[in-house]
Amino acid sequence: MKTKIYQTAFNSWITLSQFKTNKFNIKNFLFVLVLFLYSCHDKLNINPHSAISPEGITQDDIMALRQGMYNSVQNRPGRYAYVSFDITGGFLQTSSGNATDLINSTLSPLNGVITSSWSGYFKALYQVNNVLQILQSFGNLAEYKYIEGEALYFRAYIYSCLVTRWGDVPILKTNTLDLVSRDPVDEVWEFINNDLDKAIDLLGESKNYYYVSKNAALALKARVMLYENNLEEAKNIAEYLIEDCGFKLDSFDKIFRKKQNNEVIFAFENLTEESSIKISELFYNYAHPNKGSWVYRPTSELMSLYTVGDRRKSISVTTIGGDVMINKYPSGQTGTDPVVISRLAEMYLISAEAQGRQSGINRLNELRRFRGLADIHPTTDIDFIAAILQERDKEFVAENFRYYDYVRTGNADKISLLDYQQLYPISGKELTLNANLTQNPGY
Amino acid sequence: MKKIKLFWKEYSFGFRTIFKIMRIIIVFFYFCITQLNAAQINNQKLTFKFTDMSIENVLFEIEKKTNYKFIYNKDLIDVNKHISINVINQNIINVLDKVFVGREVVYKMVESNIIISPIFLFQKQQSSGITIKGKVTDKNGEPLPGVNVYEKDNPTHGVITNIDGFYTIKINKQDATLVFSFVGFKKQEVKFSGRTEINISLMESSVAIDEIVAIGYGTQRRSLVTNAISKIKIDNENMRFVLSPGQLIEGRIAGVMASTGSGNLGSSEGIRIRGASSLSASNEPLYVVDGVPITNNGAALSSLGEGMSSLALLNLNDIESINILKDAASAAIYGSRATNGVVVITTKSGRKGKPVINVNYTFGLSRFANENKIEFVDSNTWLDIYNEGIDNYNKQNHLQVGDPSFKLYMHNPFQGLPDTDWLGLVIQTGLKHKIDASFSGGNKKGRYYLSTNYDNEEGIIKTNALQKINFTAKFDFQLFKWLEIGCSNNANYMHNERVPGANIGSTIIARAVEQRPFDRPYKPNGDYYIGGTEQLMRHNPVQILNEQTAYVDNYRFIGNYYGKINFTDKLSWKTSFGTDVTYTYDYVYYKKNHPYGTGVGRIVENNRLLSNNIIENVANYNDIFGEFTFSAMAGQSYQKLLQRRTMIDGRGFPSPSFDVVSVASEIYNAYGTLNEYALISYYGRVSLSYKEKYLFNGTLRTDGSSKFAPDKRWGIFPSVSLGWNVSQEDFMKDGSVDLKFRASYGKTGNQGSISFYAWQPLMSGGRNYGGESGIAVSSFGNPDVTWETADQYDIGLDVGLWNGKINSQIDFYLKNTNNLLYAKPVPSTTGMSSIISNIGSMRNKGFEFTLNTYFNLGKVNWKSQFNISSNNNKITKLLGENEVIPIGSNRALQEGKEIGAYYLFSHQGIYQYDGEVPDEQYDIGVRAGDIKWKDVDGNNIINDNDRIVTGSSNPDFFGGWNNSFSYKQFQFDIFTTYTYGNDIYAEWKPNGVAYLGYRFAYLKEIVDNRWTGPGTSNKYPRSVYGFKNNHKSSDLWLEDGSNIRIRTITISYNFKPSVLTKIHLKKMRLFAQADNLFLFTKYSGWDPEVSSSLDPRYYGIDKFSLPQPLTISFGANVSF
Repeated sequence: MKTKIYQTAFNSWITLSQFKTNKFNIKNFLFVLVLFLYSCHDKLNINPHSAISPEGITQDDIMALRQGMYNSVQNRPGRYAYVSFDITGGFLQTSSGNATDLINSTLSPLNGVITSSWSGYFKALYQVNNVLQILQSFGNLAEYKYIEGEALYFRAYIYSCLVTRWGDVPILKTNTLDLVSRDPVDEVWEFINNDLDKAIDLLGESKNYYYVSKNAALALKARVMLYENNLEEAKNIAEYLIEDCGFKLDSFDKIFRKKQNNEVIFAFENLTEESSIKISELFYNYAHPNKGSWVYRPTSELMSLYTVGDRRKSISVTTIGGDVMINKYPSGQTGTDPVVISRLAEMYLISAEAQGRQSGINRLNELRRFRGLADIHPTTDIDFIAAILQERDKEFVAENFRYYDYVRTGNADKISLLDYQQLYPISGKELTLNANLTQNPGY
Repeated sequence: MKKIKLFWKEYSFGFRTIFKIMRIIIVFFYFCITQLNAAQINNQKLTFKFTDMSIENVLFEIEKKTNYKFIYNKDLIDVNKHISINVINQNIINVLDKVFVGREVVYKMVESNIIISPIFLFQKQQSSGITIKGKVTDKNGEPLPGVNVYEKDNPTHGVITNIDGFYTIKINKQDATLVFSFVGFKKQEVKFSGRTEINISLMESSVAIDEIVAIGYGTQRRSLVTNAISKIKIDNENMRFVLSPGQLIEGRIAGVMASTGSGNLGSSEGIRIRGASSLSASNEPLYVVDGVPITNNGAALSSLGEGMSSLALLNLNDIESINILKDAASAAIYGSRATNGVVVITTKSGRKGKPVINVNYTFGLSRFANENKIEFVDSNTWLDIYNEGIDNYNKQNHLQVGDPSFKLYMHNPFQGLPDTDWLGLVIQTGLKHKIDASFSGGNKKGRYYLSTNYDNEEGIIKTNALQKINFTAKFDFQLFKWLEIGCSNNANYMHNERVPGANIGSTIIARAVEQRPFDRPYKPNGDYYIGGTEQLMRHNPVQILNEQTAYVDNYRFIGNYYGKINFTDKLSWKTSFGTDVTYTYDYVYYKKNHPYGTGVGRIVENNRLLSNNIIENVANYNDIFGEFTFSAMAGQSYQKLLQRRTMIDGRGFPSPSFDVVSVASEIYNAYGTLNEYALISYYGRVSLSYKEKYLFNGTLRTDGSSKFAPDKRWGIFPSVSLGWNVSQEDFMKDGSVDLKFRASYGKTGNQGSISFYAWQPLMSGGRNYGGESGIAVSSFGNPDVTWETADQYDIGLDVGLWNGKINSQIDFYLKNTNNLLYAKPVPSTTGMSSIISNIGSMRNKGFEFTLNTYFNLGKVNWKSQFNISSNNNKITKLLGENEVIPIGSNRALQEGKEIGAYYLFSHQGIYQYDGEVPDEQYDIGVRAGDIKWKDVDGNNIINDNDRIVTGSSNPDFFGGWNNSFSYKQFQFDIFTTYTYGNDIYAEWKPNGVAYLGYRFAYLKEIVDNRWTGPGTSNKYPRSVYGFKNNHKSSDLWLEDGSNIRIRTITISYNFKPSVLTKIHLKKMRLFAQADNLFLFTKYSGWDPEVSSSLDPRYYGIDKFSLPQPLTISFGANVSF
């Protein structure tokens, strides 16, 4: 409107000066010019169409914020993070070399699997802490308590991933731009415990197992307790989940083919249009109908692990035209698959391991029977732990367990890890950017 | 003051004067964009001596020597008179002046026909003694409108020739001297001496010194230019059978490095003017086409392994000239987008006169150049080497037959069958046709230019093809004496059927040559062998080409509409609206048998609308105060860019004949985005010259950008430049030498490539989970982020010797870029990986030298154009620390180093004995025969700390040299380009064909020089299965990319006008051209000048990009 007025003024001025007076008045000219030109500076205020300013968050945005947190925790760490314990666990190899070669080349400060997981977990953590901070700014309203619980669960989950890989890691209770330094492992475990306890208090039932529930927090707690060697607590929680929560062991065909099942406690839904976590492409080759780039393939050891009758085999591994492949994530190029974080079989194995050989063998054999195998009767504790590990190997192929299972039970040498390889290297890039971080020894 | 008053008084004359000025401007523009710099070489010079010969015979002799034909009436012209005449190197008009000295005749030249008639035929009335009339023509006798005619003693008292070249001037003194001056022509002084009619033919001034150059919102005569501006006129002689303007200027202009991504049709191009001056903001120059600053976003949307050039859409035959504003003082008028220089493209316009029709046709064939340069070993050798690697592996890991990890020998599954020529399966001879036609003309009231072009080209990889269609319509009308309006409309269409480039897994060339020699594309039953399996390691390139349809359609309209009002004959106002709209449709169909076809077929469809509109208001004022010439320009513009994009990824097609996304059984992914950006600018320029001796140009621009926070939004970009035309000084005024000093300083800005919303912290949508909308923080923003600014100093010297036979330009420059925009890496514990910041400084300094010469070697005319430039880049400040910032997989940024430096492990030889290997490395499998890496930190562990910053992809110097020889109707052009001192990282080797023991083809050179035992090699390692330690990114693969390329050789024949007039043609030229015929380089790859990235940080990486083709073409240029 303003512009229009000036234009009109300008036009009439031209008419006047040119055709009537035929005289040129530079002052008039400049005056009109300046008016004309300055009318459009507000046109430089352009806001994006797909984002808002963080200051603009209102209570109405909290649900969206929560979904954003789920999305971030699911996506940020990247697809390699979900199988990194398999990559470094000695059951996978690339197109050349063997499993040890893969471990040696992966456990390097430069390696993308290492660098992207480290930065991904912290980027996810940022969004989680952001949700906690925003909830706090709204006074931790009762109706959003469960969201706080979900956030605390995610923080504990992220830290459990960090601490099992890198050992000492910086504890970030709130977001910061500071150059942080690493906190001792014990404190990290403590931090995880606290978050989980609070989460268990705040959480209840969830809509489905793609959302965090109290049981999900308990399942993670059981795992953490086992890792911390608090066996009694681990057993108790695991048994509670096995006995009292309505979960049942279910077939791999349901768990890993996105069918309704009674076994999964928590999984990321990982919908194709919301996710970049294409684990599947790493495992199939282009000759397989699912198609992928066949980055990682099972070793012959893994292929020979499954004995006759093991119902897990066909969903865990497959062979096409002589080429062997992991078969747990079936979407291939056509999409993404849910990523299971906790399921009941883990509780069986936690309980078994925590109870020890004498009574634990029952849970182990229950699971084995369900998977189509005969009972076993290990005679020594060492054999029992070996049997647990072997069962976990078969049960959890490509589910992100193997490396830490061998490290935490003191069996790292069995998967050809060198001493210093029992911790991941800190990403070289992060060390450059933050002088307060130190590298793990040996790297 | 007195003169100013006089000026104002004249003003009251009203429209007549306005009309004159109007005409000056029209004529000015007219000559800006028409061929003022036609080479002196084409101007036939006569040298002869006749003693006592009749005029008739003299003319007859001249006819024999030249193309001229004389037409005269013997009754009116006395040609029997005998004369003696001696001319040395004169043009025809001067010669005729001598022949007819003292006789009242006039000449009129129509093409090469010269009509000689007595002057009285043209005299309508006797002069009153103080009125002089006449006609001013160029050397061809074409009338020159707009020539300044004035009394030497009274310069302000002048007139201008009308549209037919006629003038009438009243003079006061009987013995006055008239001065005829006109841009692009040598000034001439004629003594009046009582004559009433003075007809004069003005000589074009020497090429370099008096051409017209575009300077941004205007033009300037070369002698007044105080900046470093290079101009190349696009004509038949320097035309190549290429698609984009960048390829036309490659090697032609000092300081300008043009590079191309690959030899695929329409591949992206990069132009680097005076080095790279930014880390992450754009390093591409601003392109301005006929005054419209255009966008230069890639022409393709899907990542099919390489970018596509959006400039390739333009019709090269429409281009009149390309001006490169190199230094800050010339570019600063474009302010915030000028740090990388400005490429001003001026297109052709209609000219007053009879309609002219030009038709050009070219036919070409292109081939993969130097196909056999890279040698691979045959099947038997290959198996020997592979099995040697297996042996080494098993031995080293103590593996016995029966161990699960024991590796078995490989045998040739196709024993007895010949090896496969994989490259031969995917390349072809490309056929290319190009036809274009233009129609132009004009009269007093208006001018028009219409053109069309059709290109149909095939690439050198099978299925690669491209069609391009262009239409241009340009009109200018003199509606009233005080009002001019005009428009240009440029409509372009390009259809590009693409093949995958180097940066995608399905890339064709690498996938072809990397296959083992015995591998085959088809199974015996006719099915494809599938890549990425044990049977075929790499994607099957035959399958990829057959099972995909990938094309990109671009529709681009560039238009400009203006109205211009002349308030007085010194002051004008121009309002223009420019638009540049591109619609891109990118279609990729992976059929179900394609490796990326998901087994059910997949279509990815991208749509993009790029709209770029600009409104400009520019006022111009010109005046003369005594010996001072003054001109000023002030302007304002508002530019708005909009990018709207949608993508649909659909999967599941019943059969390949269903090829639209609506058939898809599943919409796998879809999105739509909209981004906007606005720029408001004010700018002005003042030019002042004293007697054309002392020159001053000053510009000032201020830009406001929506990309920055309100208080960081505005940037001020001034420049000043000074010039001294030494040859105008009295002590040098013999005229054969032109000498000018130039010096300039300017400040420019850069904001290219950074996000449209860089300063704002963002909470982005689309972070959904479980089908419900989610939001998450996506950027911290940085309200402090602001313009990159560059301070640039330039000193230059222009020298013309022997009347322009030798022209040279030399420039030294220094460009300091500060506030470098960079996505500053931050620790991930902050929650982000980077924050856009202004972090450092960079310096570019260098020199440029251009030497053009024009000589006659007997009957052969020799024209040579040589240029050389050197640029030295240095990052002077970065994050305030001297840390190495690793970028990509093998590059780094570091203070004190160049942008484009490599960050590599250093090869120190080969371990000859196991005992030499440090324990830490022995543990991970290093043995004798493996590479001994430099252990920088001395801890025996080789990790990323042991890389060194070394080499650079920037050349020490580069340039081009064109030599043109003409003899009678023949012309021979040979154009050479050269680059020295750039390093190329041959990435195709370490993880590909130089990896002995892996299942790719093996390079013969590596095989022949590999380590097989102590003392056998200290360069290439042993063959060993599955051991990557030898294949780190290292300086072993860093090669010297220096090269000399015979870019084009052209032979052409220009038909004699005398022949052509019989068939009613004006001009006809036939030519044959060989492009990229020879390449001399030590580099072991095919082409040192293609790169998988054109970003200066990553430039110089060869991943088997398709080399530039060898093209042989034939064509005709016809005018009638």
